[in-house]
Amino acid sequence: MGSPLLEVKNLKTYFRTEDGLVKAVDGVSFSLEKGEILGIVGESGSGKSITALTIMGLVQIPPGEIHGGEILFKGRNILALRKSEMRKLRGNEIGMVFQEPMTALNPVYTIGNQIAEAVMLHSDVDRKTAMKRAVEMLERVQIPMAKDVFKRYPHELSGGMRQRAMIAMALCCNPELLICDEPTTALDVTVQAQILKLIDSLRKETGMSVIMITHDLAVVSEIAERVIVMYAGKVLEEGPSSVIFDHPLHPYTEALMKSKPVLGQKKERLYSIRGMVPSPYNRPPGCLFEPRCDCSMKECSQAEPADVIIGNRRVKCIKYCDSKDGNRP
Amino acid sequence: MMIKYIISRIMQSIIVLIGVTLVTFILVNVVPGDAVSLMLAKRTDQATMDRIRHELGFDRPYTEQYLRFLGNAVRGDFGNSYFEKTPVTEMILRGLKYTVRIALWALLLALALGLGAGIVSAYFHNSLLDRVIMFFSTLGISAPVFWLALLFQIFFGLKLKVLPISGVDKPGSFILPVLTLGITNAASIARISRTSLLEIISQDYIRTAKAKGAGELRVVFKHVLKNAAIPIVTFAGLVVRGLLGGSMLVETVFSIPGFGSLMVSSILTRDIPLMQGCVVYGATIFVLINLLVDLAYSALDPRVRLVKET
Amino acid sequence: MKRLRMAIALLLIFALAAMTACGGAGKKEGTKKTGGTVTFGTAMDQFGNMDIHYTTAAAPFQAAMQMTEPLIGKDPDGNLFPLLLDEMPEVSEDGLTYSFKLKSGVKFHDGSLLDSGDVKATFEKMLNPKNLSVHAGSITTLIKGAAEYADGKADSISGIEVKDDQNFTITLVSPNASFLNFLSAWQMSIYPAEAATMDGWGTKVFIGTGPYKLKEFEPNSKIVMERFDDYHGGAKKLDSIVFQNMTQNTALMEFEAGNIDLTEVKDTAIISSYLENEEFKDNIVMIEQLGTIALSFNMKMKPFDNPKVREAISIAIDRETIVNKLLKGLGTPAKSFLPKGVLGYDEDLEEFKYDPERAKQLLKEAGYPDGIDVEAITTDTAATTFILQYLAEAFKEANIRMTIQTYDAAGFTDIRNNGKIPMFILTWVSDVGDPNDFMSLYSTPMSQFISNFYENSEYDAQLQKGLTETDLEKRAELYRQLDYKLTRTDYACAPIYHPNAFMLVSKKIKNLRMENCFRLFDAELSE
Repeated sequence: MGSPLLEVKNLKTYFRTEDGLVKAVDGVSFSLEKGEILGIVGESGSGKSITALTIMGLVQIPPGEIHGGEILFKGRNILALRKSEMRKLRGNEIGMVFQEPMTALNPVYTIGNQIAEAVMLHSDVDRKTAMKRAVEMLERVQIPMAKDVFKRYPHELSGGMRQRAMIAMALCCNPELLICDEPTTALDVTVQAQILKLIDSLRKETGMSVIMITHDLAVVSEIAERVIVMYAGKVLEEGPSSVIFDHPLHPYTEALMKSKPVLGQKKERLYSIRGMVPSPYNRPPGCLFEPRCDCSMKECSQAEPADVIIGNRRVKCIKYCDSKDGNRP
Repeated sequence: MMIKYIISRIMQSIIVLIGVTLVTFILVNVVPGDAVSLMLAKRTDQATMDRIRHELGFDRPYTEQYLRFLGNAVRGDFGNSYFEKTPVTEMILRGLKYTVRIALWALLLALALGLGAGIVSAYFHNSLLDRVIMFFSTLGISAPVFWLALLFQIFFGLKLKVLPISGVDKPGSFILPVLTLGITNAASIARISRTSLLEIISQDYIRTAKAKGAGELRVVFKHVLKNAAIPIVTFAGLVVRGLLGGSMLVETVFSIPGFGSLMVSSILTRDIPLMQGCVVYGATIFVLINLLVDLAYSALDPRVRLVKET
Repeated sequence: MKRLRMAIALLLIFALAAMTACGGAGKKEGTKKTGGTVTFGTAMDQFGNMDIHYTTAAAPFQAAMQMTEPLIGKDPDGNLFPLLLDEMPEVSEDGLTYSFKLKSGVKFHDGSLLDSGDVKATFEKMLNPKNLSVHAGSITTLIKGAAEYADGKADSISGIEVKDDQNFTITLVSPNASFLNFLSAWQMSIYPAEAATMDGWGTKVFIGTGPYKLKEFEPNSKIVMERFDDYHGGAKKLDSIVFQNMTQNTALMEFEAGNIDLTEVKDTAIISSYLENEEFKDNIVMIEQLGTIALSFNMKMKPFDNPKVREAISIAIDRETIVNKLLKGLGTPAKSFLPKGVLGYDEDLEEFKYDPERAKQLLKEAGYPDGIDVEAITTDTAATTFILQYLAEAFKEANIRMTIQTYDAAGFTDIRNNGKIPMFILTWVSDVGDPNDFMSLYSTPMSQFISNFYENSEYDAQLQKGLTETDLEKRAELYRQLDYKLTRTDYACAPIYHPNAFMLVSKKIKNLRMENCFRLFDAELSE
C-alpha cells in the first residue's frame, strides 16, 4: 500500500453559537486508502456530517471554525488551500451525495442543467459537450430514458431517480473520493439496496474511494470495508466491518448493535441506549459515553480515555488501557 | 398548454373588467356630488342646470346610460372630460406617459438598490454592514413618502439648488420623484429579498451547488436568485401597482401631470367621464400586471407550471 | 476585507447605474432676453379648460385675463373704461338698449380683426346648452331673447343686433344699472366667432384680443403665454408669462429658491411668518379684495329658523379677536355684508357688539334656555376651517355647542346646492364689485343654492329697484338698506370679516396692481 488517499489528523471543527462553543468534531483522525469504502456510523449529532462537510470545505465560517488538525488529500493539507483552489477540488476530485435528494436538487433547474453545470465548472467544454456528458452520466447511473429525464425538473422524478441523478452529478468529473452523506436514508428499502449496489459497482468501475456516512448499521455492514464509530464529535472505535459488529470492543458500539432490529428475530422490546447524548455545551470531563454506559467505572468520569490500538482496530475506552495488547500511542 | 392557460387568464380578466365598469358606474352615480351642480358651482339657475343635464344624457334611465358607457368603453371611447373638453383617452394617455416613465425608472431603481442591498445584506448577514443596511431600510420603510419628497425638495432643490423642485420640463425633473419612489420601495424590496435570500441560502440545494465547486457569485446569481425571485416578483408586482396607483402623492408634491393626479382631480371635480376612464384604464393596467406576475411565476418556478396545467 | 470590498463595489455599481439611468442633474437656465419671463406658481389640478365659459374657478380666470378681454375694462380703482370699444356705450331713454361701437383695428391673436359678429357669436356660444357654459344663467334673465335662444326656440339672440362690423346694440329685458359692470366681468370676454366650432378650443387653441397669446398649454402642468406684438393697446413689456402648476407648499419652496416670481399665499400663519422674516417680508404684497367671509345659516332648519337664534350667533362672534389674533390683522372685521369699496357700504355703521351674555339671553327668549347644539360643515380644502375651530371653542361662552363636519369639495358643493347644510362659512369674493353681486346672493331662489333659503319678497323687490336705479346716491341708499335688513334685522347671515389676498412677489417685478384683475400683463422686470 502506498500513501493513503485521504488522511484526517486530529480534526477539530467548532461552532461559536450564542449559547457557547459547540465542539462538533473534536479530534477526529482516520485515513482512507485508494478504492476503499469507509463507513462512518453514529447517531445524529455525532459530528459525522460535519466531518464530511469539513473535508468538502463547506463549513460556514463563521460561525464555524477549524480549530485544529489536518486533512491530507493526496498528501496535501487541503485545510490550508486557498478558496479558489478548494473550489477546483470540490465536485471535481471530491464529489458529494447528500441525504435528501428532493431538497438537495435545485427545484427551478432541470436535472440536465444541474449536471451539465457541474461538468462545465471543472472542464473547459462547451455547453453541448457538457450536456452530452450529462446524458452519459445519467445512463451510467442506470436511469432509463436518460434523454427524457435530462429535461425534467426534480419534482417530476421519484426519490430513487433523484438520488441517482445526484450521484450522476457527483461523479460527472470522475472524482477520486466520493462522500455519501446518508444517501439512502430518505429512500424506500428496496431502492436503498439498488443505490448501494450502484455506488459499489461504480467504485469498482472507477477505482474511487468512498466515505459512506450513515446511522444505519445495515448499510455499513453491507458495503463498507472499514468502519469508524463516532459519538459526540469523537471517534470511539475503528475496525474492519467484518469483525467490528460481531465483536464490538467499545460499549457504545455494542449498545448500537443491540439496538439494531434483526430480521426474523423476535425480541420482546428493542434495546435502547438509556439517557441522551450529552449536551454540546456541557460535556463531561471524562469519557463522553460514561453517563449512558452500562459498564462504567469510577475512572471513566475522570479523564478522557486514550486511543488503544488492538491489532487492526482502534478503540477509545478505559477498559482496554490496561490490557496487554494495548499500548498507548 | 401555456397558451391555454394564458387564454383562460385573459377571459377571467375581461370578466373582471366588466365587473369593474359596472361597480364604477354604480359608485359614480351614488357618490354625493352631482357633476352638473358642481360645474355650476356658483350663480346658476335650475333651467341652465336642466339644459346641461339633458345635453349630457343624465336624464336617461341608468341602464341606458350604463350600456352606452360600456359600448363606448369597449371602443376605448370614454367621451370628453366635462372640465377639459378633451377626449378622456387622450388625457389618460397623456398622464400615463409621465406616470409610467416615473414608475419604470423608480421600479428599476428600487430593484437595483433593493436587490443589491438585500443580496449584500443576506450575504453578510449579522455583520455590521447588514445591520447598517437594515437600519436604513427600516428608515426607508417607515419614512412617509410625502415627508421624503419634501426632504429631497428642500435639500436638493432649495439648499443645494442642483435639481428642480417641481415640474416636468426642466432637465433632471424626474430625478427627485424617481428617487423618492425608488428609495421607499427599495427599502421594502431590500427587506423582502434579504429574508427570501437567507431562506434560500440555507437550502440543501445551495450546499449541493457549492459541493459542485460553484463559486460564490455563481451560487448567488444562478442558484439563489432565481429561487428567491419568486417572493420578490410577487412583491415587485405590488410595487408596480403601488407606483402606478399610489404615486398620486408624489405627483402632487412634484407637480407632475400624471395619471395619479388626473385621477385625483377627476374625483375632486366629479368629472364623470374622466373618473370612469381612469378606473377602467387603471383596472386594465392592474389586471395586466397581475397577469404578468403570474406568467413570471410560471417562468421562474416549474412547480407552479405543473399546478396550473393540471 | 475582500468580502467587504466586494459588497461596497456591488452597492456602488447598483447605485451608479440607477443614478446615471435617470439622466444628468439639472443645469441653470440660459440668459434671459430683454423683457423677460414672469412665472406664476399656482394650483392647476382642477384647471381643465382655459375657456372660462366652463368654470368659475380662479386659476383659469387668471390665465384668461392675460389672453382675452371683455368689451369693458376696469381699472385698479374700480372705474370702468372702454376696452374693446371706442367709448362707453350709449343708453337709450328707457334704459333698455345699449349702443356699442368697437374700437377699430383690434386684432385677435390669429391676425383676424374683431367685429360685431364675434361679439354676438360669443354670447351665443355661452348660451347654447351644447357648449355647457356655466355662465349662461345670468344672461338669460338679462338680455332680451337670450332665454328663447338657450331653449332652442330661436336661431339667434334677438336682443343683440349687429348694425355693421363695428356697431351693435344690446337690448335688455329690463333696465339694469349693473349691466356695464356685468360686461366687464372676465367671463364676458370676446372670442372669435369660430371658437364654438374649433377643435381643441381652450386646450390646443385659445384665441383672444389680449396682450398675451397662448404658446403652450399642458393641462395639469403649465401654460406658456408670449407677448402679442399686435396688441391693440400697444405691445406689453414682458416676453412671456408662465403659469406653473404646483401646490401651495411646493410654490413656497420654488419661490424661495428663486424659480418662480410670484404665488398666492392663502394660509394666514404662513403669511405672518413671511412678514416676520427679514429676507422675505418685502416680498409679501397685499391685494385688497372685494369680499366677505360670513357664517351662513340654513333658515329652513332648526334652530336657525328662529331669528333670535341667528342674532344670538351673530353677536356671539368676537370679530375683533378673529381678525387680530387669528388673522394677525390681515383682514378687516365686518360690520355689513358689503365690503368697503362697494357701492352701498355704510362707513358710519356701528360695529357688531360682541356680547355672549346677551346671546344667552336671546337663546332663552327663543325657547332654548340650555343653549343650542349646532353643526357646521366645511371642506377638507377650505382655508377658513380654522375659524370654525376657533368658533366651536368660543361659542361655548354663549351656550352654543358647535360640532364641525368635514366633506370633500365635491360632496360639500353637492349638499350645499341641495340645501342640506345647516351652517357653513361662506366666502364671497366679487370680481365685478357691483353691490348686486353681493346682495342678490340672498334673493329668491338664489339663496337656496347656498343652503340658506332666505325668502323676503320686499327684499327681492328692492333688489330689482337697485338694478334699475341709475342715480348713484339713491342706488347706494337702496343697498345700504338691503344690507341692514339682511344682517341686522333678519340675520340671514353673520358677516365675520373682509379678507385680503396676499402674494409673494419677486422684488424684480415692478408696476403690479392686482386689484379686481390679475394684471400680470402689466408687469415689468427690473434688474
